[in-house]
Amino acid sequence: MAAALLGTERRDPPVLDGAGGEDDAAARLLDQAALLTVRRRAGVVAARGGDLEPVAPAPVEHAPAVPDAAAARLARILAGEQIRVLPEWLDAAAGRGLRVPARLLPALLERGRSDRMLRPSIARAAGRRGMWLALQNTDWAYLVGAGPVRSGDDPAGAEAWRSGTRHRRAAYLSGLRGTDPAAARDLLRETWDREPAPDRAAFLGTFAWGLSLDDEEFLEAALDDRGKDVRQLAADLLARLPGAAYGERMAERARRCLTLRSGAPDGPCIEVEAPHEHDAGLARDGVPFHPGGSFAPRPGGGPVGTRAAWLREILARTPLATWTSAFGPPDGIVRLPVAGGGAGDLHTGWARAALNQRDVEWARALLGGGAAVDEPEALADLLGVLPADERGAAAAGLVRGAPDRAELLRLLERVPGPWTGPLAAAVVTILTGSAGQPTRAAEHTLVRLCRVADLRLDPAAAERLAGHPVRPHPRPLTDLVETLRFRGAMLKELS
Amino acid sequence: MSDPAGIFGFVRDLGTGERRGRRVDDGLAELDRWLRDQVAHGLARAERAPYRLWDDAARRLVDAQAGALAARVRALAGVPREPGWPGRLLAEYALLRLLVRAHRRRDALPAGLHGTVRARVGFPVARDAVLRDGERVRDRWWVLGTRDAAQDVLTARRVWLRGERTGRPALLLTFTGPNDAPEPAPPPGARFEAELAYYPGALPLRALVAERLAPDETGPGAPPGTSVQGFLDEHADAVAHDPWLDRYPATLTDVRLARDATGALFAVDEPGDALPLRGPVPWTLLAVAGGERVTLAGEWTPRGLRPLTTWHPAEGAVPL
Repeated sequence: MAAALLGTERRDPPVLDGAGGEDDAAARLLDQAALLTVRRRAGVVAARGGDLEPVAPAPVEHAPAVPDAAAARLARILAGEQIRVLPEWLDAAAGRGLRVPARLLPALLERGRSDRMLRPSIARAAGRRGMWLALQNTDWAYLVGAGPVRSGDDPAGAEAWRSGTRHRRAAYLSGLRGTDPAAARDLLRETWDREPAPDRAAFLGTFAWGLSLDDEEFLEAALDDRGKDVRQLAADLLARLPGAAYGERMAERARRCLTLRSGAPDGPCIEVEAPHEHDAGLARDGVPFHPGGSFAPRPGGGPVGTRAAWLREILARTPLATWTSAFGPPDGIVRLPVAGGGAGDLHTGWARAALNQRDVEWARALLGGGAAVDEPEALADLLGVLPADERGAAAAGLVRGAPDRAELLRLLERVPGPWTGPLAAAVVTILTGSAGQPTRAAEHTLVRLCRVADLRLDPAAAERLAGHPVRPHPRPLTDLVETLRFRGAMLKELS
Repeated sequence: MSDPAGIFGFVRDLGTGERRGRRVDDGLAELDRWLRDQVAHGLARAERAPYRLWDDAARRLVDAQAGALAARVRALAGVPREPGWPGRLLAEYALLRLLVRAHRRRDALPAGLHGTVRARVGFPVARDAVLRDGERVRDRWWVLGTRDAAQDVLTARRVWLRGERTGRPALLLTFTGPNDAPEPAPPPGARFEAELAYYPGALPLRALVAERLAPDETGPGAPPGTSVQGFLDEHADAVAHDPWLDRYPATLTDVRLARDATGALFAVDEPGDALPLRGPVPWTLLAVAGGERVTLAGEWTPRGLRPLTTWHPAEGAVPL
């Protein structure tokens, strides 16, 4: 070998037995090397398995893999066809207790690298094999933090808490919050003072899981934290905690603003007096001097203004029981006239409160019509609070009540899928109405609505849309029908 | 589909065998000088050598109408970027010279080896001649796997087969031009009853489907395989027939994956014999096997086993 590297001009190659008698040194070296190469290739000896570390067996799967047709479609989706339906495929499979077959896991885990939103869905559908595989590739380690990790399932978790990245530590903590909130709180308390502010905020965010009055003391202390994000997060969590002193402080402020006038000649009404001052206590409880939206234009005139914005924030953070015990049932309260035209502030504040406190009765009352909420998003978000079987009808009501196309679209963009029943019918009516018209506004509506409808609309609507008499079908409509049919076939394969 | 004879535009010369033979002789003599030069001046130069070094030599071989040799020389340009390259480069140069010498002594070689040497140099064999004179073997052929490789402007597709009753390996090699629609690859794990016609050679491997007797069957079940030692014995015999052999199909039964201290993967069989895997981390194989024993088919090369297909009881045949 040395002779070959240096060159036979500089070094004579060794002479081996059995090689031909060439006089050229280079030729002799090549001929000997050929002999050795063939000998070596023919005489390959197996490596000893005893010197190797076997790949540890994956845990036994509990869930069955999806049927073949569904697996074949998943392979097409992962190859790029209708890739946007991937979360729905994964959630549908996981919802039916099925898992992704092992051979498709690498392509699936690769998708999750670049798409964070996808990760919880992947974690649910990838099965135990998926987790096993993800642990072998650092590019896929994100999966470990993406799912509902149980502390017992995660022996590496305690170690991760000591030495992992912020993301990994927060993942471990949220898993622990899901099973043993007190243990998670105690664990965090040990290192709390030493953590940097962004880490404190990330860890405090995990308190959303398993939140209870036991956390109140910790959260109250966090209201005086050095980090602004930590303080805000603590206030937001306390606002969701029924029975906390925080709620009572807010109720105190709120009661000073709202008065029920029952002796008025036109029947009872609410009088509103927005707070005049912003004090340190209000700031400590998470209401900034300029709350988000305080410069937003109010329907029919100037901006919301800081005083009204403080009122909205206070109402959003006040336990709704405050009003139910003072004024009566929610649907009655929502219908009470408001003296001086402050209904928008009240109803918007209550809508946010109903969302924070996941209050079904209030959500139902506010969505029932007549509420003067000037943020369509706030109402659309409330749909998620309702029981699933009421959402469609309530959403259809919102759609019908939308004052104009712009608001309608803003609203629908916030209404999560699946759009079924009366809501699906209402959307199909809007789509078919827009597809028949040559105006720019109708075209704009069609394009924007098709873009949100393709993943949310009930696939059963495909045939009604396909039957639209306009010829040729506008491009957004044909794309929509194609996606709906794809989803319909996909869901059928998974059922 | 076209025969490799078509690739290099030699077809028109097929009738003028004598002239072609002289050109090949001259080309190989020049290759021999070039090889001896490389070794005389030292292989160490190759580490910094431009691609041109090999490309020029390959071009001269194309001009000499030794197409297969040219491709082999051109492929060497990548070797100096691999770990352990000096040994590999010397081995390849040595085998090239062995081919030159074998070709020089072709009239003294047995017919089979003569055929092998001609094929390795790049003499085309007409499809009709293979169908007319080639050895015919009828069997139920398992598709072990398919590999597409870019070769100049063409795509070379290797489909590896193994006969169920005879245990014979076979290679269906086809070339597709940039404008041809690629033929659908047979699904790995499929099997079909057919009569193959082998190309001439000391180690019959490359073949044509002479007569297909039944359509593809798919379904559960894995192809018949061997242990690691069984495969190495078969491979040693194959190399003894064709010393230039650089790809040979392996089907290993009941292997599980293992890692050495550096993390490199191996396939280990039941008795504990192991073969190194080659190429990028085979994530699909890892996912499907999940640490259990599987049947694994691959291309064995001097640098390790390149996985092609694995068979799993629940997942069936999975291309890798």
